[in-house]
Amino acid sequence: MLLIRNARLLTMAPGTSGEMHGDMLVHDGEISATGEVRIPSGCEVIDVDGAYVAPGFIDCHCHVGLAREGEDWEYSDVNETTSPVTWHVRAIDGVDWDDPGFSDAVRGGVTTLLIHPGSTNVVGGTSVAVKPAGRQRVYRDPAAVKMAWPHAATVGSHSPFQSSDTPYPTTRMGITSILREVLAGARAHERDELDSGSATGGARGETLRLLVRVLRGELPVCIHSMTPADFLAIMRLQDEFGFELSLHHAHEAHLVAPELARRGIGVIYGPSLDDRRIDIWRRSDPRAVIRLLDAKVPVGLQTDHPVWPIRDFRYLGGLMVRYGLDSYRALRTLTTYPAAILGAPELGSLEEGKRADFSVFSGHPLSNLSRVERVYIAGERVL
Amino acid sequence: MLAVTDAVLMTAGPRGTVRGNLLIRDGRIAAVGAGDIPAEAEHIDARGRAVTPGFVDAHSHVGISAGLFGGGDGNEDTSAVNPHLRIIDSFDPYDDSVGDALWGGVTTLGLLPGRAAEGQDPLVEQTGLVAGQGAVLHLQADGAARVHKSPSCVKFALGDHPKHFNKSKKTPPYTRMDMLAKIRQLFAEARQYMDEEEEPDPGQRLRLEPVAALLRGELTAAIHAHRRRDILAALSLVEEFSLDAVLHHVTEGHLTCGELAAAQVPCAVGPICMTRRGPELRNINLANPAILERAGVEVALITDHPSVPSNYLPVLAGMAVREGMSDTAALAAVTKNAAEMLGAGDEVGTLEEGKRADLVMHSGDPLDAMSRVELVVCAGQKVRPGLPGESPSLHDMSLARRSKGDDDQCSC
Repeated sequence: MLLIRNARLLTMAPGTSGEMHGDMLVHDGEISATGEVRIPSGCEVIDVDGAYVAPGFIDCHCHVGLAREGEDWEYSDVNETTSPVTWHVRAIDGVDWDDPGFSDAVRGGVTTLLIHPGSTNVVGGTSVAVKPAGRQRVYRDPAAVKMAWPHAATVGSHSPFQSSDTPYPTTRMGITSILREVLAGARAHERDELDSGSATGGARGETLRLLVRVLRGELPVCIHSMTPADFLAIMRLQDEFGFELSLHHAHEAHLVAPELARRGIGVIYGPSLDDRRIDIWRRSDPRAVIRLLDAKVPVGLQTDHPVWPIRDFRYLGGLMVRYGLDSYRALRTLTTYPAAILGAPELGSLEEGKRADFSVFSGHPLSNLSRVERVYIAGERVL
Repeated sequence: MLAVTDAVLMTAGPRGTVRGNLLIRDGRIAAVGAGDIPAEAEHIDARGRAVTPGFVDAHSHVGISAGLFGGGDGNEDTSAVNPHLRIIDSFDPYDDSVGDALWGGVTTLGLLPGRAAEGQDPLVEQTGLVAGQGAVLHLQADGAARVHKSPSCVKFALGDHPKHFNKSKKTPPYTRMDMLAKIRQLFAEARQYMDEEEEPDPGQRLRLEPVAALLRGELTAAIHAHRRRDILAALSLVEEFSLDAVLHHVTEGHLTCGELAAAQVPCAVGPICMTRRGPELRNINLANPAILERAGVEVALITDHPSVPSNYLPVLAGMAVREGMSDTAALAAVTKNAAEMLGAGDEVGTLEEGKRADLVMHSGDPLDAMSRVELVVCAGQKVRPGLPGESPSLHDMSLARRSKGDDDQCSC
C-alpha cells in the first residue's frame, strides 16, 4: 500500500474541476481513494509537499522499439514493404524491448504506448499497447489494426518505400479500392463460415478472423491520414463496412470536425502542432486541436516517436496552451482522451478503481521548465 | 514613437534584467529603463510582463521548400561542392513558415543551404559537402524580410549526413578522407585564384570569390558537425586555414568541450529536442548546452527549422535551463550569442540603445512552452496580433509584401 500525501492531484475526473489538493491511496496496483485519506497501518507514505501529480500520459501513436535508436535506418523494423497489404504482421514481433526510447518514455511520464507498424502500407499490421517499464510490459495485443492513406504511395514514382515487385497503389482511389476489396472479402467469408459452420484453417484463417473482428467493431482501426479527401474516403468505407476507427496525424481534421463529432471518431493528432513543411497538409493550423475539441471531437496528441521524442511528449500539450487552449483540456489530450480512443477507460484519470499509473512533477506537468520527479506504473515505482 | 512601459526588460545585454520603460524612436531602441516617456509616444503598458529581444535563430531553413520526399530547394545535389550557390535564391518570402516564425517572436534568421528531405527518414538533415552561401534576414512587421547580409557565410558539412547523401546521389566524396581532401582542394584553388594577376574567368570568380573571402576572414565558415571526430576535423580545418568559423549542431560537444573551449570557436547547438536518429545522433543529450556553457564555450541554440518548428526556439532554451544551463546563458543562446554568430550583433540580439527595435512581450516566463507570445515588435512596428495560419493577417501580409515598393532595395 502506498499513500501519496499533500499533492496537487490533477485527477482529470469527469464532472469536477479535474484538480484537487489532497492524498491518493494506492493498493494492488489501483487507486483506492483520493482526497483526505487516513493513513492505513503499514502503508508507505510519500509526502510530495504540494507537487503536481498527474495521470500517466498515453501516447497512442509511436514506433518505439521498432526503429531502435542510435542505429542506422537499415536496422529499422517499422515497415514491411513487401506488399501494400500486410494484415499478417504484428508490431509486437518487431519490438526491441531494449530500445532506449522506453526509458525515455518513463523519464517523460509516459506510461502507456500504442506502437504501430509504419505507414508505407495500406494495411500495415496489428498494433500493440505496451508499458515502458514494470512487471507487465505488454498491455494489450493486438490493440488495433494500423492502416494508412500513405502519401508516399500516392506520389507514385517518388515513393522511396517500395522495395518489392508487388504493385503499390499510386492514387487515393487505388488505396480505397484495395481496402474495399479486402473488407468485402472478409464479410463474404464471415457469412460463409456462419452458413457452413466450419472455420478456415491456417494462416488465411488467422487473417480472416482478424478482419472479422474489425468488421464487428471489436478491434479498432488506426488510420494514418492527412486531408479531407482521405477522411471522406475513410468515412465512406465506414458507412459500407461499419468498423471502429480513429484518425492519426490528421493535420487537416479540423476541416471536417462536425462530421467527426457526429460519428464519434477520435483524432490522434500531430506530432508537430504547426508543421506545414509538406505540401500535402498545407492547411494544417496550430489551432486545429482547439477547433476539434470545441466541436466535441476527442483528441489525443502523439509523438510518432522517433519523429518527436517521447520523453518530450508533455510539451506538445504545453505548446497547445501557448496557442490558446486551457491547461485542463491540454492535459486531457495526453490522458483521458487518448484513454478513451484506445478503449482503456481504466487509464487516464486519478480516480478510485483506476490503474495507478501516475507521475510527480516539480512544476506544471506541461511545462518544459518542470521535471518529472517520480513515475509509477500500476503502483510500482519505475522512476 | 512607441513606449513599452512597466516591463521586466530582459535585455540579454550587459545590464541584465531591469524593470522599467523602453522607448523606440525611428525603429530603433532610444532608451532602456528610462523614466520619462514623451507624451506623443504610443504607450503599451506591459504591466510587469517580461520583454525580451526578438529571438535569433542562427540555423534555419524557413522559407525554403522542403519538397515532398525530395525535390526541395534546400540542397543542390548535382554536385557535392557548390560554393557559388546562394540560399537567398531559394527563399520564398510568401512561405507560411515566415509568418509562423514571426508570430513566435523569431525576428532574425540565419538562413543556410544544405537541407534536403530525402530517403527513408525525410526529417533528418541531408546535405552536400559544401552546400553554398548563407544569408541573414530580419523579418519585418508586415511579413516582408530584409536582407541583413548575403552572403553571410559558406556552409560546410562533415560526417555521416553528407557522406550518405553524396553516396545516394553518386556525387563523391564517399569517405571522410575524401571530404577533407575536397575541402583542402577548394581552398588551394581559391589561393591560386587570389594570387592570379589576370582578370579571372567570371564563372571561376563566382565560385571561388566566397572561398577567398573565407581565407581573408571576411566571411564565416558555418561547419555542420555532429560527432566528436567530425568536430575535431572541423577544428583542424579552422586552424589550418585560419577560418572565422561557427560550428553547427555539435551534438557530441559535451564530449569535446575541452577542445572547443581551447579553440574558442562558437557553437550553434541543436536542435537539442531530437531522438537518437541514427549513429550520428547516438549521444544526443539535452544537457549539452549546459555542459558547453560550463566549459566556457559560446553557445547559441538552433531549431534547424523544419527539424523543429522555428517558433519553438525559446522552448528549446527552456529545456536547456531545466538541464542545468543558466537563465542568462539560455536567453543569450537564442538572442545575443546567435546574433553575434551571424555577424549581426551590432544590430540585434539585445535590448540596448541604438539597436533595431525587435522585441517580444510574453505572458509568463519567456522560455516556458506554456507562455504566450503577446506582442512582437519588428524595427519598431507592432506585428498584428494573431496566430499563424489566421488567414486575414497572412493575406494582408502578402499584400504588404507586394506593395512594398522600391524604397528598400534589399527587400526580398
